[in-house]
Amino acid sequence: MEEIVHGVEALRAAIDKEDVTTAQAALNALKLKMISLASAMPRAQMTAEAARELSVVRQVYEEAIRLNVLQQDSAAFERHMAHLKPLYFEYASVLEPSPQMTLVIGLNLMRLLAQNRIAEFHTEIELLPEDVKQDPFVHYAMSVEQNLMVGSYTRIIATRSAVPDSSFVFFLDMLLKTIRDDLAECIEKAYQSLDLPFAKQVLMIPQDDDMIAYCQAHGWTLDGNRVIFDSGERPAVSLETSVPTIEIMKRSIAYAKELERIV
Amino acid sequence: MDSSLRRQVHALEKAVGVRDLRGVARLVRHHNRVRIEVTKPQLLDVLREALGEAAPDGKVLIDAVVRYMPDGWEHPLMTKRLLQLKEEEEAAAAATARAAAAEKDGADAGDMEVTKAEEEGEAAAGKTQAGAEGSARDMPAGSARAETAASEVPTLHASGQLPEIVAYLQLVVIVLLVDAKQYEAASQISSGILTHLIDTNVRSLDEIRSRIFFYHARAYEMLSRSKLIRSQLLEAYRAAVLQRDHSGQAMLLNLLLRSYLEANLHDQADKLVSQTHFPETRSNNQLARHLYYLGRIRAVQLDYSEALRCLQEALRKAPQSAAIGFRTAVQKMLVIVSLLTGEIPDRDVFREASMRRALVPYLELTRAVRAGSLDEFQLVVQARGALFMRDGLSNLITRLRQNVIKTGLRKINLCYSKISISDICTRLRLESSEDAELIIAKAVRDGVIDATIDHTAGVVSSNELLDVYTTIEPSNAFHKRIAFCLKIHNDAVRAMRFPDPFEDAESAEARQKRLKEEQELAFTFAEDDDDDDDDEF
Repeated sequence: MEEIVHGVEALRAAIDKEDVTTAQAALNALKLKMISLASAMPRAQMTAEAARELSVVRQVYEEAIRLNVLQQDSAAFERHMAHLKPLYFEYASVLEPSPQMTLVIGLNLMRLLAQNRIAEFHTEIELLPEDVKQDPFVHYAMSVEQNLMVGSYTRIIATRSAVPDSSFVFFLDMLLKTIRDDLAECIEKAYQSLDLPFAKQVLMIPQDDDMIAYCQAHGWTLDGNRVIFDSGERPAVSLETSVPTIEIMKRSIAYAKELERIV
Repeated sequence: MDSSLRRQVHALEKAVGVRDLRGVARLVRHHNRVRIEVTKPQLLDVLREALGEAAPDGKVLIDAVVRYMPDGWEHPLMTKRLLQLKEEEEAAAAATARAAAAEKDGADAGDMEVTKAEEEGEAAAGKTQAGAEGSARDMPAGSARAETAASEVPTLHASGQLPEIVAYLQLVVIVLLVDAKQYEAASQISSGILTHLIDTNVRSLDEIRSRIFFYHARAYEMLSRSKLIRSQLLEAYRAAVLQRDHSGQAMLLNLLLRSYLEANLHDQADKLVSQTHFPETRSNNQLARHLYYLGRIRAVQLDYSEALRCLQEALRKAPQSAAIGFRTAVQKMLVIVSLLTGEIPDRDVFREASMRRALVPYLELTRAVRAGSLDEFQLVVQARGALFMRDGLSNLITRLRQNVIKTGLRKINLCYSKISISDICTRLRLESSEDAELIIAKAVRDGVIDATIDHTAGVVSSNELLDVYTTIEPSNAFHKRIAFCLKIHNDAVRAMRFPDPFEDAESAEARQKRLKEEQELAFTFAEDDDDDDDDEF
């Protein structure tokens, strides 16, 4: 137990120094030690000792989350989050609330947004009590989601300089990639053509070369200073394709069959 | 002393005796009247007679009743029913008075009216009589049925030998304790009972057991301890599946879902649903509840069309005359979800008398969304925030904000063939035109509007509206409806009962005997058939 407490200190120090390899090694060692804790067993009795152990375990995982952000490893982040969630919600009555909780929850929400897992995002939101939702970290993630849904992409980009914690930047950058593809889809549909500087601004691609590569990847043509999206002319619809004959036949036969059974 | 509880127990004894499972199920389902009418002395009387004070089962129950049931207990619904009776009597009296007055009024002009008033009076009087018969408590030999019952006062001889009777009486005690708001006592008793009952594997107990579980969970919920019994419920659910106890499965699944959703654990609830199978043979009430919970889960997961389907069906399956609380909850949810799918609910929805008042805030919300006015929307959300929070819908309502903008956009798009972006900006009160441009672009992508943006000119021009009747859309819409009707028909056919193929093997004599017994039972049921169990909600 004491070893673990010291281990957490070491881990925290390594992360503060951004020494990823040492931190990872420390974390791995800690995880091995944590297995032997009495409270780690399922159906363990909740004693005062167990509560202390769990709060240390919670610290370990919170540090692990910070490490994952440094490593930019969202898969490990998800795993550690799964460990933390019961510690936050199921044991809420036994453990003191953790000062890091809202930060971790906010980060997790941002991760779900960045990975475009909106349904899970909302499931998480439902779990949060009202006072947690007012917390700046959590509130930030929620406002990002709202802007995202409406389409105020510019506002999200504007918040990049105002993130509540530097660790948010990782997921925000991840989110921006998602947004860029989203935007590309939008402008493709909404415009017939667009001048290059504006397109660059919208898609947040500062370099000309990158922009040209991006256009080619999406099959857009460049005409001087304009980007032409190739959705302008709709192909003429022929009778064969406009009337889905097979489908209609199938349905009619199905109706006939059902009616036959009824009568 | 004769009481409805005694009759019920007696009928149950008979039903169990002839192994009439459906009969047992029906008796248990209609225990509502017993629950309302029974009084403390009557209950004690039956308990003493059927279980005996010496038997451990009986002792626990009798102790609990003596200790926790308030003296002179009267069920809240009973008082309500008495009030109703009184009103009906008054109405009848008024009608006769009116009829008399009209008669006095006399001759030719009043003729029609008289007959009408008389009819009305008669109908009301008839109802009163029926009602009086219904609440036969303390009315010795008042009605024909009471007389027949009195002529053969049922004696409870089985004295607690039938496990069904014991379980049923336990159920009655728990229900009454929950009704009397003695949750602590109810939860203790139910826990004690269920430890034994969970292991029994007798089909005739299924229905009773599932009900005991319901009140068990209810008591714990009222004590806000439902988390504690979750694993017990899961265990019981597993047992119910293994024993093919359908009513238990349906009930326990719903209780689990409720317990999860109460704690906002949508994730777990979703996993539970995806891993389990809701039994096909279940009461409509359970199905309605199940659909409601399913709708709630889907709505949180942004699967609005599925949520809409579930909620609509829940509303359809719920009892139409009772369970107003349940239907109001479904309706509230339904309004929000249909707004989220971009549809505006019909005005009729808000007019229904029984839930009109509860739905007023939702009507205001709908108006705001319909008008596409963000200001109004914010106002409603602020003014009614606490209420929405209590209904547990505030998170869903925050999501509506984008729909408000979309509706506004769509309106503008329909009205103008060409409009400048800055105009849209002022109309929708968006902050910058650049922001607005992207919002419009997203709306185009999402298929909310059909338009093209010209960035250099700064205008949005709507594309020509396509004539839907030249497309396959109408055919699709018809297909959906036809498929729905055919499904109802096929379900109805499937739900019909076919004669048991083994019945022919039964000898004519045995058959007659059985029929006679069934008839006797049917007589007991007939009177209770009207009031279905809306207490489950």
